[in-house]
Amino acid sequence: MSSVLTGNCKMPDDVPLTKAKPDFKVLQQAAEWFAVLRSPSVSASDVQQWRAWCDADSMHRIAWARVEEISGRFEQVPEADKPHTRATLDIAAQRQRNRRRALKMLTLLCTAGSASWLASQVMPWQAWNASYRTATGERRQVQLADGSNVWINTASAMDAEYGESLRRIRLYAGEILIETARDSNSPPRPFVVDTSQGRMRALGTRFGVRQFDGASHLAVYEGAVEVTPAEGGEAKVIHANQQVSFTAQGIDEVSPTLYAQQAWTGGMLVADNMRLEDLLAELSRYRHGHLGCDPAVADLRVVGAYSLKDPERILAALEETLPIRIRRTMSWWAVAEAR
Amino acid sequence: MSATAPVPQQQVHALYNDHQGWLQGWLRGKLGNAFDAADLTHDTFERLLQKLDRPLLRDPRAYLTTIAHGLVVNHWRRLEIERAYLDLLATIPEHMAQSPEDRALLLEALCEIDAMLDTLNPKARTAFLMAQLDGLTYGAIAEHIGVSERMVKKYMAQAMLHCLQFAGEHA
Repeated sequence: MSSVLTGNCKMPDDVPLTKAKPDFKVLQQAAEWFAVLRSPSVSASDVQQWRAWCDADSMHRIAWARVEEISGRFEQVPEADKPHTRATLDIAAQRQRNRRRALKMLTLLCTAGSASWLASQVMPWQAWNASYRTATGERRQVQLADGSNVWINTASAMDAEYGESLRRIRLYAGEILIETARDSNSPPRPFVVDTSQGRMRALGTRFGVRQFDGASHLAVYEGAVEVTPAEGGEAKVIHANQQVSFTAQGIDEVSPTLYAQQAWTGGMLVADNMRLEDLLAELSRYRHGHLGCDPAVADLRVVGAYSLKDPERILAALEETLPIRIRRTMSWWAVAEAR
Repeated sequence: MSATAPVPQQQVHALYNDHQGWLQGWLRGKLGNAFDAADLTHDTFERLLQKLDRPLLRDPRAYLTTIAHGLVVNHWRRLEIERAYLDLLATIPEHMAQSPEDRALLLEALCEIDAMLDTLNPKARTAFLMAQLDGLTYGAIAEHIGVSERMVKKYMAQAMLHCLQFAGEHA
């Protein structure tokens, strides 16, 4: 097929290629010839007619040269990569469409493998007054009595207390993402998350909370959440696609949520042009031991989506793609430095 | 590529002095971080140097934002493709061996293809990619996407015309 495409249509030498602009009609004809010649049922007479078309006008030849140039772009893709190239383009196009529609990102971020991780880890809610913990590197999804879902990230601890008038989660450490369900009680009980710094009351459906030293962080993905700092200060409603940090005394400025923030619920770490130092800090939440970063390489930028199943493999991948190496002085001490 | 004399560098320098701070702020708002905003500001003026073939008399900011907007779209596209590709690689362990240069070249090619096919109708796009990348025959494609072979041929012509027009606009 491609031998026909690169066949005997002589390149025009009378008109400089870059300046000529074949009109729409000619481009249309060239595109139709492409579809004919590319077909497995192309006949000898088709080829003959195509040659006659080429010979008839230098603009035809210019248009055909463009067809070959475009067709050639696909030849730049190495054979070995062709099988997943279309999948990559499909995934990317799908995501672009979805972003344009501003739909949920979560399910798309997860590849098939990590999505099944979600399905297999849903645990029944067991005790009225339960305590949930995850180890370093562990992530878990639990379903609470009212059907609300909580994803618990690495090294986290929380309680769920469901009383007569309140559905309350207490986050002690780490990070959770909550998808609230409609309460079957009537009237519906409020759903709140408490941290050391204050209370978040869900006015909507999906949001993430993270406990830092001395501060809490809230990211709202759907609906809205009202924050009230523990030691007074005004309550504030945070809307979808907004995030905010707050202390017991007050609330910081609101900023937009990032595409990558929910990826952990799908078992992924997504670096969206992240500084290496920040990426390593994030990664160190998921592994034991010290993980440092030499200032000389701290500002290197990383783009990628990594499976959190094996943090060591992420380090290996970083060593491979960036001019760094991971120096391990002891088994629990690793530092990224220039290669 | 233009026949007219290039605008003296001086004018671009003057534009740079007058507008780069503002443009960087605008890009920062779009991208959410200062590093990328600085990079794309630089790229925008570089693009301006290549493109500008007559003095800019009116509203240079509108012109700058048009260029910058195109660069922002490309920036997001690049990230999107790279991320999709890496997601996919994560499911194919033996593929970790690819060199960074090969990966960069491949991603470049993918970005070009993706940009070219943007806004093409999804079925035509799928048919075209199946033919060009998977080497499927029209018959096989027809079966996959549930249309007639004749329709596949139409899609192929439609996709190629789309690419030709894209290449014409972005030459």
